[in-house]
Amino acid sequence: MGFTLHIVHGDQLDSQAIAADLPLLHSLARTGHSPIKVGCKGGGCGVCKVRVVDGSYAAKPMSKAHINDNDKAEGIVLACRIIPTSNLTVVPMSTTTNE
Amino acid sequence: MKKGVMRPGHVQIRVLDLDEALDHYRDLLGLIEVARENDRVFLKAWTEVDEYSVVLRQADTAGMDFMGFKVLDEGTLDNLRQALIDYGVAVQDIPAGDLPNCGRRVRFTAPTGHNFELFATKNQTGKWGIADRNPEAWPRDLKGMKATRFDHCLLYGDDIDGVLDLFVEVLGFDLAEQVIDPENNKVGIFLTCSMKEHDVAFIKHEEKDKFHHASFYLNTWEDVLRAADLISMHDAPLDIGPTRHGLTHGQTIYFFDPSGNRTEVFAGGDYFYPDQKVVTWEVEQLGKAIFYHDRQLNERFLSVLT
Ligand code: FES
Ligand SMILES: [Fe+2]
Repeated sequence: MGFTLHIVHGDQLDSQAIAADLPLLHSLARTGHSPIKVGCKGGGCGVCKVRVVDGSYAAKPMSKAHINDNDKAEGIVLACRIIPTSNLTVVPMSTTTNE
Repeated sequence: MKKGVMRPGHVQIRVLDLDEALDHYRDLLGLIEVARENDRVFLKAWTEVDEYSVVLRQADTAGMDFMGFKVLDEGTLDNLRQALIDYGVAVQDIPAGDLPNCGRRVRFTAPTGHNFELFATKNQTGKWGIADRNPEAWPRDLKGMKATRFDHCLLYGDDIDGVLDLFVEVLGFDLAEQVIDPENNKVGIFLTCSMKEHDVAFIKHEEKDKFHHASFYLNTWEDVLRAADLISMHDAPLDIGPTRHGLTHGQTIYFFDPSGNRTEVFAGGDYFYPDQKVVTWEVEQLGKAIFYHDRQLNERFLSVLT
């Protein structure tokens, strides 16, 4: 079973199927053209940062160099470290660090 | 000119989850777990004579804490410590035992922001799994890729000229290979303290203290291909390869640990003698310099760091 991902690009909304048992980024990377940047896939490099504006997920540890507690509270996460538990709506973010 | 720095002795890598990291470094890469203490695990590659070379530390960020070089003896350590001070580098003296079964270490921060240390003494347990008299060719019960040694690190940082001067003038490294831009500025430097083409390398990058990869040696290209098979079997994130580097000409594959730190295993590569001219690659040829077959840079190589 899977979920649907909605990605906000400005005022455009793209949708695609994602797996329920894989980190979000891993689902997207499998297609070969992920709309979110693919880096280390391990929560360390920060290039896959997104803001989840709707939906729920389970999160694995993410590097504090890229995601602090405030970020987490605002739904800012690393796509390679969240496993969806519902349909998701996300906004891709810049790839800069927030150290 | 050599000043008694022998080889990369250890690297401490931050990981987000120790057990997941062991699955990578021990079971996939094939390092041997030798000790655990609180939030750290100590591992070695089987051909190394010292007790350990890789330290994994559980932390809330990924990246490299420090890289240590082993020097000839305690007298050499004193000389190099003084040379660093005379050069104007602040040193921190870390007492023996801070790393288990390791002598005193002299820590300093390089102009690129990376922490390095020198040490002369570490408990020698010998090559793993074979005797030191009449040794067999290799131990039978190695795991995964059977990495033979911790070989080098590639680090990204801002002050390439500064770190080059320090490593050459104070620590006695030689510049084996370099990448230069059209204005002759150095954007990549490959430094050696041995007959290897590099023991540590730096690439220019706007942020300080970034970790690109720790690299481990395999004996043959066949072993690199086998490593590629294991990466797939293990479902580990592949970065790029198997391929060959133009720089150093090593045969290589890159992949990521479960915290996003990059690992390289490689075979072959050129050798170095101090009378050799610096090998130069032009930045316009950077794609070929890094990935000799594709001749194209993937953006990830330059931007995905911990
Ligand atoms: S891809 Fe590196 S943190 Fe997600
Ligand atoms: Fe390397």
